[in-house]
Amino acid sequence: MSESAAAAPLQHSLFSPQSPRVPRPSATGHSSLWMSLFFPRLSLEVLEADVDARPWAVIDESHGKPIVHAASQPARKMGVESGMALTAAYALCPELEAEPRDRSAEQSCLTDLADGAMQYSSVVSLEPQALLLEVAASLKLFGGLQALHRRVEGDLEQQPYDVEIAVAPSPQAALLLARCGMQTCITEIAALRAELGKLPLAVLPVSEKQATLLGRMGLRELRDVWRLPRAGLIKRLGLEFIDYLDRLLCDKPELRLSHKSAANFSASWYFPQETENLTFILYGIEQLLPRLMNFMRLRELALSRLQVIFYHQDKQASRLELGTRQLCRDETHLSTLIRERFNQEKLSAPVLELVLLAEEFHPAVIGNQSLFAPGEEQDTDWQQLLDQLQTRLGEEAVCHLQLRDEHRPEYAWAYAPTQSAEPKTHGLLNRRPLWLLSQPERLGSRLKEIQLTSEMERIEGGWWDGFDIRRDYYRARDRQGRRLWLFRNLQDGEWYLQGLFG
Amino acid sequence: MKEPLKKLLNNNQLIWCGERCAPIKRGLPTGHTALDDILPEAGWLQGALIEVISPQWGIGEIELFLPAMAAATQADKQLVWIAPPYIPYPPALVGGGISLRHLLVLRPPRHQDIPWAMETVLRQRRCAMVLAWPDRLISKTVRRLQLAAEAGGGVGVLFRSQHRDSSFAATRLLLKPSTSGLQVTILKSRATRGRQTVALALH
Repeated sequence: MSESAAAAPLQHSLFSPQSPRVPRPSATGHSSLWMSLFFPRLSLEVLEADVDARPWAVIDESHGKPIVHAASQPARKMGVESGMALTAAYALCPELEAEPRDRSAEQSCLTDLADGAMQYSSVVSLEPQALLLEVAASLKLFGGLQALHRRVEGDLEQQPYDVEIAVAPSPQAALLLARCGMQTCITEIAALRAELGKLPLAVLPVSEKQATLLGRMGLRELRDVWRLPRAGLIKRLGLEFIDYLDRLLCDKPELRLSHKSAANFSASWYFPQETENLTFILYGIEQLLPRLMNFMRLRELALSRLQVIFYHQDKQASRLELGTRQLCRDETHLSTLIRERFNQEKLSAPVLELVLLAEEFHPAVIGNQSLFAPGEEQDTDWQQLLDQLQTRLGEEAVCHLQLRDEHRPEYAWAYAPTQSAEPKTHGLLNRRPLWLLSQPERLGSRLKEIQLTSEMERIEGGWWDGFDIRRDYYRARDRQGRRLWLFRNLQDGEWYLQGLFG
Repeated sequence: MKEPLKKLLNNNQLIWCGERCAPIKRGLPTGHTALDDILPEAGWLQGALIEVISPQWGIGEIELFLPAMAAATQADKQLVWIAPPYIPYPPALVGGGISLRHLLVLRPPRHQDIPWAMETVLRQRRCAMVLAWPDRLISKTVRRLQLAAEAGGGVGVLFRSQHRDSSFAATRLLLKPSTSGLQVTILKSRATRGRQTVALALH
C-alpha cells in the first residue's frame, strides 16, 4: 500500500509543495529559528553519575505496568530497550537493576539547564527531556548560527548530560529531529519537508491508536503522510494530528511560553549521613558556590547577604548568615568568609542537609579595569579584608570614626559602620585629648594628686535637647605623669576625668 | 674579606652585621627630628613591628606616632587601631591631621581575636600603620606578627604594659613621662648603638 501511495501522482494535497508558503515573519521581522536540546539519557543521568557502570534501567509506569523508560549501555547491549515491559527486560538481562523514575529531579535539572540556556536566547521553553531555544534573534550577537551552535555545544560538554542538538525553523521540527538523534541544522522552511520526509512514522509523538492506524494504512515515512489528501487524514486521525503536522512544517505558527528564571537562589546539598565534620560541610558548600556564581553571572547580579541553612535530625534547622559590606560575586571571597565564620561558630548538631539561600540580589556594577592606576583593585582587596574582619569579629566590631559638629565633648563624635564623607574642618581653638573615656570618671579624693596645667575653658549649653551641661575644663597632670583632661561640673561642683592626652 | 662574601653581606637585608649593616632603606619619618636622628632608619622601620612599653597610657604615646600617621593618611594609606583602651577622640585626630576616612577601628569582643585581626590587617599592602593594644601575647605570636608586617610592608605597633627582656619585634621602645613631654628609650633596633634615650617635647 505504501508503494502505491508513493507511486501515485501528487494529488490535491494541501501539503503539496507546489503552493509554497511564505515564511511567517515573527515579531522582529525575521522568520524564527529554533534550536532544540534533547537530553536522551536525562532520567538515568540525574540518578547516577556513572551511568554505564552496570546494567540498570529507569522504570516508568504505563497502564499500571512497569516499563523500561531508559536503560544504561550494558543493559542495552543485552537487548533492553526503552518501552519494553520490565518482565521482558528481566528475561533478557537477569542482573538488571531497576530504579524508579525521579521526575522532580529531572524537572529541576531541566530548569537549571534552562536557566543556563537563558544566556543564548530570551525565549527558552521547557519540553519533556528537552529545551527549545528561539535563536533567530540571537544570531547576530553570537556571530552566526555556526558560532552559536559551537558555543552551546562547548558549554554543554561541561555538563554531565548527553545531548542532541538540532536546529529547524519550527519548534516541533527541531524537537523531532533532536529526538531522532539527527543533529541537523535546517534554516530554510523549504528544506524542512525534504529533511523530515525521510523520518520513519514511529518517531511521531502520536497515541498508540493513531500509530496502529498509520501502520495499517501502510505508511512508513513522514513523506507518505503528506501525500495523502488532508480531508481524509482529518477524518481518520483527527484534527489534532493535522494541526501537529502543520506546526511541524511551519504552516501554522506556534506560540511558546518562555521559561522564567527564579528570582531567588536556593540549592541544597545532602550528606550521605549526618556529619559534624567541617571538611565535609565546607566541601558541600563549595560544591554549591559555583552554582550561585553562575546564577549571578547569567543575570548580571551581585549579592550582599547570603544564608546557609542546616537541617538536622529531629532538631530545628539552624542558619548562618553572612553579610558583605559591598556587593559581591567573588567565589573565593565568599568561600573565605564562610570558612572564617566556621572558625568561630560551632554547629549546634550534626547536619543532614544544607541549603545555600540568597534572596536579595542587586544589579552588579562591573567596573572597567583601570589601565594605569591600580588603586581600584587595592580598594576591592581592602573591602574584602573588611568583610573578613566583620565576619569574624562581628558587625559592631568593625567601625569608622565620625566627627560631629557639636560643642559638647561627648557628642562630638560617633562610631559609624562605614566611612563617612570627610567633615568640614572642626573649628576648634583649644586642644582636645586623643583619648576620651566612655563615661566621665569622678575624681573624688584623687584630685589632691593632680596638678592643673592650663587655663580654664568653659563649655556649656545643650538645654535644647535635655542634656544641658555647664563645665569648666582644665588640662592637668597626675603623679604618674599622665596628661589629663578634666572638668569641674558647675551643676554639682564635682571634678571629673574625661580624657587623656595620649 | 673575600669578595663574594662581602657582596652577600652587603646585599642581603636579612643578615645583620652590627654597625656595618646592609644598606638601610629609609623608614617612615617620625615627625620628631630628635627621634629621627637616633633611629637607624631615620624613621619608623617599615615592614616591621615596633613594641612600645609603658606602664600606663595617656602620656603621649599616640602623639609619638601622630605625625607619621597623619602623613600616611595624606598619602591615601590606611590606619587600623585594634582594641584601643579608650575612645580615639575624632576632634583631636582631625586636629592632628589624620583623615578619618582612612582610620579603621576594630573592637574585637574577644581578646584572642586581637592577634588574628592584627596579622590579617598587617598583611594588607594598603595598610600603613596598625596600632594594637593586646591583652597579653606569647612570643610566638609576636614572631607571627613580625612576619606579617614583613609581608605587608606596613608598620605594626604593639602597645604593651609589661616589660619583657626580649621580643621578636624589630624595634622596642620604652616610654616614660617627663616634665616637658615624653622620654623615649630605644631598647632595641636593627643596628643598635646601645640604649639611646631622647626627650621629646609635647605640647
